[in-house]
Amino acid sequence: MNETTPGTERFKSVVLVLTLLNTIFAALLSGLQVDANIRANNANRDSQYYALLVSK
Amino acid sequence: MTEKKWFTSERMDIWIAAFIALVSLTTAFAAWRTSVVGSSAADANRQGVIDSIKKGTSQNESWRRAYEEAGYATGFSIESAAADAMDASGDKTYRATAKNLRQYLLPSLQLLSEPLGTQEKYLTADGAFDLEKRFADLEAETPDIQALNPIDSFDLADRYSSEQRWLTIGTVLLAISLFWLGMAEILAGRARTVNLLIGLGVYLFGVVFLLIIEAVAILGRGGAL
Repeated sequence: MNETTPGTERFKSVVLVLTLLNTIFAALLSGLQVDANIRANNANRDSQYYALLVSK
Repeated sequence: MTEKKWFTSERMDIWIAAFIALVSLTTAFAAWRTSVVGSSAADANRQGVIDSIKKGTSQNESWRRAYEEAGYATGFSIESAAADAMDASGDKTYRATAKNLRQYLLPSLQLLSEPLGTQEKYLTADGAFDLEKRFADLEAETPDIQALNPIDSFDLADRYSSEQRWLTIGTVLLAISLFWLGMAEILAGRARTVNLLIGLGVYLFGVVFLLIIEAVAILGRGGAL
């Protein structure tokens, strides 16, 4: 009763491949998020610095 | 026979689980280090902004003092000219007023206008006050403030941020290796071995990658973590 059909095995393989692709996508997205955060921080810093330069 | 036993499924399960644990620990350590580097970048940025505020405040105060002295010096010149005019008028009351001015008001104004209003070096060729020179002298009185350089702090923050980006890429590599090891845990036979080797390969590459990033970044900062 526990035997799996070839169709089920193929389905599991497809799910695994999709999970792999999704993991890689999520990892890349995480890297982009870090990069966007750094850019946002730098822009915030620059805005404060330029505002101080103007007020001198 | 011994070699065959070594590669039994049960033994492989234990090894893969151990590798997954090792990769998880390394990933956690890399994530911690990435966070520390990000925090250092934020600290350097904040220090740069603080230094900018200090320098700006110092410059504003120097300009305020220069103009304050100029204001008193101008008042002294005006009142002095008025006293001269009163003296020259011949009127007894005016002369008494002029005497009063010279005795009480003018010395006070002169004192308040020092040194801009009293030193020759602060006069331009046309007799005006050299405020730029007075400002430069006031700035020179605070060498510790003048030594502050916000741009250096911002450059340091940029270096930390660059390291953070690369460390994140290394962490992604570790996460990918974790996935391949997870696949090895699920699969069987030759596919399991292949996935295990890919996972270990990506893991080792990721670790070497992270170590190189750390070494380059720390050396680039002159040894500072």
